[in-house]
Order: sequence, then structure tokens, then C-alpha cells
Amino acid sequence: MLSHGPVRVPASALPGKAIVRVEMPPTSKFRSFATDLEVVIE
Amino acid sequence: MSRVSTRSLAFGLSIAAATVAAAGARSQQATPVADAPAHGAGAVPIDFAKVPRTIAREPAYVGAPAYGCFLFGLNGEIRMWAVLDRSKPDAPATDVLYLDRDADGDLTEPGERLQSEVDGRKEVGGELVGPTAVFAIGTIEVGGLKHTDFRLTVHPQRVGWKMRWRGEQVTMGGYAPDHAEYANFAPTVAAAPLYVPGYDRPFEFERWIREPLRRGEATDFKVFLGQRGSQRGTFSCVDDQFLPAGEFVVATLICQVAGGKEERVRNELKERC
Repeated sequence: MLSHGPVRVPASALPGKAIVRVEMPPTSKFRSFATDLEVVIE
Repeated sequence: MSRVSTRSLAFGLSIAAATVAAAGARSQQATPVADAPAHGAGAVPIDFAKVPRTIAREPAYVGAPAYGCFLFGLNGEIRMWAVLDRSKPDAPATDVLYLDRDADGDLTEPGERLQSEVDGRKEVGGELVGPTAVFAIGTIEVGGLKHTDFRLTVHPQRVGWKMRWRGEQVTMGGYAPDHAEYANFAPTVAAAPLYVPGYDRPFEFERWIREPLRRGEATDFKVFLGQRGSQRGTFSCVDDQFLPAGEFVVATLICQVAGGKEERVRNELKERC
């Protein structure tokens, strides 16, 4: 039901809200509408 | 037939026929033929605010009705309303479903009233938990496509559903980042959750479990793959076996770093669960 994997955050990132843009890669045979998911960086 | 080729059947109106025709054409002549339509070709994002919220004809409900709606068609242009009711005023829980199986807006037609015989609630810690009703709808035909094993499950605080899209892969809903946010049917047509089953449209994504990301670390990031609905808790997804081997999702972190600069970090989500 879920796709998952590590999302790395640079040590230099500022804390607060950020975006994870999720999509299928151009090489995929599946198309997608890129979806921006709001995240919080601590 | 392999999983991949089976799945290919679902991509367009006649992808399988086009693929077979293309293969046959290639074997018989050297001239190139047009490829099958791309996944999701012709689809655009659905503007849920513009979805008409009207039901042409409704039955006389016994209890307080609860409304939901399934959108079919490449761009959600076909509406199949579902309304929960009770068989008698003193029924302990919802046990009747009106489903507009032919999507014509008339919920009073024969075969569109289903009765649940199941009350799956069990007492746990002094409380009744579990589904109050299960409706085994079976096969529906809408927009010229047949979807099978359609089942709708009513819980005290939410409604869940599942079907085999075109009789093949599973699509189910409605989901959210947290169990507590899964949508319930609504007391009015205007507030009804709108679900978009299936996987013919370009995929959209929803996060599972909202936990913070930490600087200098890698966090396991989980997403549903499927279709957004009209509101939180209405996401429709495919299962974890849907994507063929080698297919994965890309998640790009877009964040601010020191100095006010934007940084983008590309990540590949290759695991399934």
C-alpha cells in the first residue's frame, strides 16, 4: 500500500516548514501529478 | 499473463488491443506503428469545487442519511452516489446502503438498495469496536468498464471501501496520514466526501504518518500512491504490489538553508510495505 525510503535532510537546513515534492520519475511508464507534501524540519 | 501486461490493460481505453495489434503489426511488417497511449493521457487535475453535488432522486430514508460519492471516468466526470441509512428507526447501526450503480442520479431504482447482515463490532475494553456494517456490492459497470469485488465497510467513525479496478488490481480508500483522519460519510450532499478510485489517471500522493524530518539525518518517508479525493481522509490508493520491479517514486526535499538559499535533495523511494 505504501512506497517508502529515506529522505535526507542537509545538516545546513533551516528548521521549520519545508516541502517534499513527490512524483514518478521521467523514466517511469507511469505518469503523475507532482504532489507537494508539507513537512516540518527539526 | 504477467502482472505487468495485466496492468497494462488498465492504462487506456484500448491499450491491450493496441499492444496486441502493435505486436502483430510488427511481426508482419517492418513499418512502425503508433505506441499505446501513455498512462493517464488526457487526464487533468480534478477541481472538486466544480463537481455537481446533486442527486436527482432519493428514496425516503428511515434514519439520518450519510452521503459519499465515487467519481469515475478519466477526469471524474461520472458520479456514483452512495448513501447510508438504517432499515428501521431503532436499528442499532447503519445497515442499509443505497448505491447509484448506474450513475444516473436515481437512487430509487431496483437493485440499488443493499442490506448488510453483518455487525462486526466486538467489545474491547468495555467499548464496541470494529465495522458496524459490510456491504458486498460485487461488480459494478460504469463508464463502460467493469470493476469487481466492490466492498464498502462502515466503521463508527469512518467508511472504507475496496474494489478490483477492471477486475484486476486493487484500489481502496479513503486514507490520510493518520487513522484518525480517515473520512466518514457526511450528513449532507454538500459535505459528502468525493473519492476517485482506480489507477488510470496520473498518480498523486499522500503521506502516511506525519513525523518531523531531522537535520543531518535520513527519515523513512512513506507515501500512498493513488488519487486525491475532495478532502483529507479520502485518498484512494493502490496496494504495495502494484508497481512493477524497477519502478519507484521520487521524493525531492525542497528546503531553506543558511543564507536564505533554497536546496533540493532528490531521494528515491524504492521500498514497499
